[in-house]
Amino acid sequence: MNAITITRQIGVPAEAVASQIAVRLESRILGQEVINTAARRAGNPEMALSLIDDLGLLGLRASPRNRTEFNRVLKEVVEERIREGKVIFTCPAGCVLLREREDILHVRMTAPLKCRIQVLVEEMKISPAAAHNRIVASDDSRKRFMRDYYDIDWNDPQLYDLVLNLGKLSVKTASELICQAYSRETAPSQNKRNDRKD
Amino acid sequence: MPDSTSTQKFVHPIERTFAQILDYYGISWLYEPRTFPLEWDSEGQVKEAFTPDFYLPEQDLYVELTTLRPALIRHKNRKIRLLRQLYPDIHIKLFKRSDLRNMMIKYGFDEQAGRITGTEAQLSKDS
Repeated sequence: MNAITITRQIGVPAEAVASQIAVRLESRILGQEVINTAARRAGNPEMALSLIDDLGLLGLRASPRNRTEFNRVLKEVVEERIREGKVIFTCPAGCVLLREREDILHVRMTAPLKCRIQVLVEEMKISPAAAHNRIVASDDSRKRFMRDYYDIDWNDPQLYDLVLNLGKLSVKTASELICQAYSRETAPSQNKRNDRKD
Repeated sequence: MPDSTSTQKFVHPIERTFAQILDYYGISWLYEPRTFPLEWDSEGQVKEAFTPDFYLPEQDLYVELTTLRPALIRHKNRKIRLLRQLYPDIHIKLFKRSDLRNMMIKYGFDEQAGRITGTEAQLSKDS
């Protein structure tokens, strides 16, 4: 395995999990920097804002041609980074752009609504009602974005190799599970064949 | 060094709101960092120039906000068109009144959104 993609929803402490994995696996975390680089290289910096705009506040909509070109360049940039070393890719499109590669572990993190509300209340110092509204807006915006830009239902579990509920699992447990899956799938092929016989 | 909403003075409240949205997403911004000459007289003096509202250095993108009604936006569009012709490597995004209104409603600023309709808005932002 050469990389991990992490898809998450607002209010799920995926950054904390990614940070722990990065330390354990000596990997780099790629997020906005890669999106910005790809957008600039594609000559379409607005695309970066589209991907970053979790809540759909900016109302940006790219043409199919611009989207296709941007996705091509984004994939190119991510693959360059993977060639440089192990990476953890936290862009929402990671699981889609790199789905054909066998050497990538795709992880989805989720949590119950009440847990997500609590996280936002603490992080952003907002009321539970405001946190609830932001979560609903973000989920809706993200769902539409993934459908419009990538023609997928991002809640489809088939897009992911591992789906973790951080309402139940701690950040530490989640990062350990991901590292275990990553290391086992990176093991020499004989070990994997032995595993399958068990 | 990016600007900060806590210290930056803005000409119009919509600019502050936009900066707050950028802050929310962790997008660095600079307020009116550059003026682009658009037209010169026979002696080479600048006759007309344009200063976009924001520059996003990580995206290399200039942003202009306008609360003008569509019928009155010709002058702004002309400036942006000239900018793109004279400076083809510069990327600029114009957020129009409807974009800004929708943005503020989604961000929870319904009262402010109501204020960028009508003639009051024409006089304050783009005069």
